[in-house]
Amino acid sequence: MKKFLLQTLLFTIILLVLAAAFDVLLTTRAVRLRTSPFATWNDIYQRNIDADILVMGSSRAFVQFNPAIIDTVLHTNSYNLGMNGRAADSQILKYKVFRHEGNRKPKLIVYEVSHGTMQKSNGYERDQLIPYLHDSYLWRLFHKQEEFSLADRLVPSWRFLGHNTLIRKILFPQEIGEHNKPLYKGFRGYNKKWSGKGLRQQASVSYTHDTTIIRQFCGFLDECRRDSIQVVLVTSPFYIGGTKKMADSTGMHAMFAQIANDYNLPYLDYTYDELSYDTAYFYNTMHLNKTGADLFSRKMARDIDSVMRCEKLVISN
Amino acid sequence: MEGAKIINICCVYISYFCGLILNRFMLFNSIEFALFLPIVFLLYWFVFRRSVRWQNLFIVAVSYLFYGWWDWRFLFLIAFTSFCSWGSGLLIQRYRHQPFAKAVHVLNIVLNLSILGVFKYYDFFVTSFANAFLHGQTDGLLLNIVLPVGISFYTFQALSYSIDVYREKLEPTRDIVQFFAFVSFFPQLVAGPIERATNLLPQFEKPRTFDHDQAVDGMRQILWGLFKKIAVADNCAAYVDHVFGSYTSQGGLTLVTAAVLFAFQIYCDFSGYSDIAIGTSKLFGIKLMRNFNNPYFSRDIAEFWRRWHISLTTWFRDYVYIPLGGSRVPKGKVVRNTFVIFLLSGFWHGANWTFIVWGAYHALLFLPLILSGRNRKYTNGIAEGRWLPSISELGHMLLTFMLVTIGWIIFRADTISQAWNYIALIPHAGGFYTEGLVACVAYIVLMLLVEWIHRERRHGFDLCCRYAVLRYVYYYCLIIIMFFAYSNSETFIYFQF
Repeated sequence: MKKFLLQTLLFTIILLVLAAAFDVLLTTRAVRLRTSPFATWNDIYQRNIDADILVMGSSRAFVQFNPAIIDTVLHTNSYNLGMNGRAADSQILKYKVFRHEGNRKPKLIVYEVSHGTMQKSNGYERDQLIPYLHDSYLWRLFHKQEEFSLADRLVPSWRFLGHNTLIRKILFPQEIGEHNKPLYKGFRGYNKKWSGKGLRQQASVSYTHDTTIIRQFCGFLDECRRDSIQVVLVTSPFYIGGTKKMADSTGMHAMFAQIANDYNLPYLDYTYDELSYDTAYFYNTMHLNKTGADLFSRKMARDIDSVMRCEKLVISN
Repeated sequence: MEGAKIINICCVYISYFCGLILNRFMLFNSIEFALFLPIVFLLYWFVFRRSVRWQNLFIVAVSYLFYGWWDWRFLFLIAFTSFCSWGSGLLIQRYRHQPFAKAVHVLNIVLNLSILGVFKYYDFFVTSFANAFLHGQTDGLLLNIVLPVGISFYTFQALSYSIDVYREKLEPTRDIVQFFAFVSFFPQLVAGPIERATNLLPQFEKPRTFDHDQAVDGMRQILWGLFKKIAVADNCAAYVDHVFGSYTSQGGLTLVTAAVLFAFQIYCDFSGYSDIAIGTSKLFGIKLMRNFNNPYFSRDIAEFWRRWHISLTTWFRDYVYIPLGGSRVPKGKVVRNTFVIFLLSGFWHGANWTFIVWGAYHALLFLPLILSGRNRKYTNGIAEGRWLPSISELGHMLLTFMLVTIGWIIFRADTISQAWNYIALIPHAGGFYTEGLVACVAYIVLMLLVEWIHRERRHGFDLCCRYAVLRYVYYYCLIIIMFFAYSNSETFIYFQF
């Protein structure tokens, strides 16, 4: 028995050492990545985000709000914290990690709100959290929502089990290609042309909301008010053909307008902006391409500037 | 402050484990089982080794915990089944050679099969009856109850005991704990092997002593079972599920590939489970019967059935086929007996016509062999004393595999018409679906290679390598392959039976 236990122990120790080494390798490589979706997390953990303006939202924030242009127009420092495929629940948790890690409090948050904001996140790009699960604060915030187990946190390499694409992304980032080029301050512009495919498939895109997410969002706005952070709600352009097909889009805009009114926030709605009528600026129904994103970012930054002047708020350095 | 933090952490851990307990089955390929097994092992050998009775009591407790992890309410069913069979054994012994003994014996069989029938087949019979006579109207007639995991396995195991006692092949046990341990022994409780009382019960009577070589072999067999499940079965499942879910839009080559992959999926899923069960039992000093013996190396269907799900096949042979007269009766009755056991075998798998047709299909393949007296042509090992099979052996193996794979299409399909449509679409050309295929093929080739090398040994990973370092290298290689091959943990196919 003694021999068996010693053999088993030795076998397990060697296995754990190998697993720990692999875990360390992946974690240390992951924190150096400048590609999506790791770049923003790495900036958060390395406290690289020294921003006056923070952009929040889903992929519609991530690919449409260009910090380079916002900085030029507003003479300030901005950062895009957009979270691909995620709703307000995840976006707010990401913001909490951002603050918890000691990044400077922004003066202004530009929050992109649209049809998916008030839905529950469905685990899209869940892999992005895996390299950071050793952080107890992040784990506490996300483990229930993302269904991570205690083994993911405690057993070396367990969290990477079967995530071969993630491992490849971490170990061979150069192989990934155009889709994952380095981000600029959390932003990624896509030089893609309109395909029309999204519009044809849009029957499934509809506006829904979850009351718990709305409560969470309002809680976030309360927190911003306490921290004296000005929030601007923005609905960025959505291709008009898509808006026409969306059920109850007016109800959605009314809800955001109501929230803005309740919290006395500016609400900039670009749903019917001239950009929304031209497919040259979109690569699919709900995402502007790089050209459209740059034009929109400039326009929005100017509008924010006007709003800030009216409110007598100073956000530039 | 520190105290509050510790309490908080403890609460997180407790809630985590409580969360696991609720509505989750403890799969062999789960982290829960990886924690459960060493704890049970250490307690078994260090705390409860004082007496056989203590060890048996502990086995019953942990087996009930293991099963209750999924749904504690069904523990009453196992306890009831166990108690009935144990009690009937004692009554049969007491009233030996009297009509009452026979009555008790029949009553026990009827009771056990009725429980199985209600839980597993009631809705099927009602639906079939309604389809035939009531235009499919089943309003208010169906029970829609959850099928208790492993009910077919433990019911048959308990039945084997009372039948053997009635036939005077076995002395009944007076020790209820021992009998409950026999029925509920956790490694084989939910998916077999279906043990015979004559093999397993005596092992619970004797004191168990720890055998180092047996335990090491058990660990090795567990590792091999996990490899077959995680690397082969689960990866094949992704391809197979996709193709069977959209078979009308797939090309013929894709359909054939999916059928072949399903053959390996079901083999590796089920034999992988059996390997883990047998390996785990070895850690507790218990030897279970072999359940699979390289069935895909069989040279004809008769040999296939001597190598596939051996515990069930021999159960039907001993308790149904031979009592009906077996093959030593006129040819008409041989045909009847063959059909009876194959149809029962199919029906045992589940309440669906596909399983019955699958059984009938195998009966049709088996009949020519038994009627011509060639059903025991291949009782020797495959390619004995040689590295490779002869061309003739290879041809027979491929033909047998092909026939078995056609049967698996019927088995896998949801309905008979789906199975027929699937087979009818095979000659049609079309695109070839390749997502995940290379990995599946690589894992299958590796599995076949290892099992071929060890085909004459006790199990697929019964390493004959003398060098410990090399053996360790094999183990770690397998674990690394499993790490990268791991997909979402799939439940074991045979749990539903």
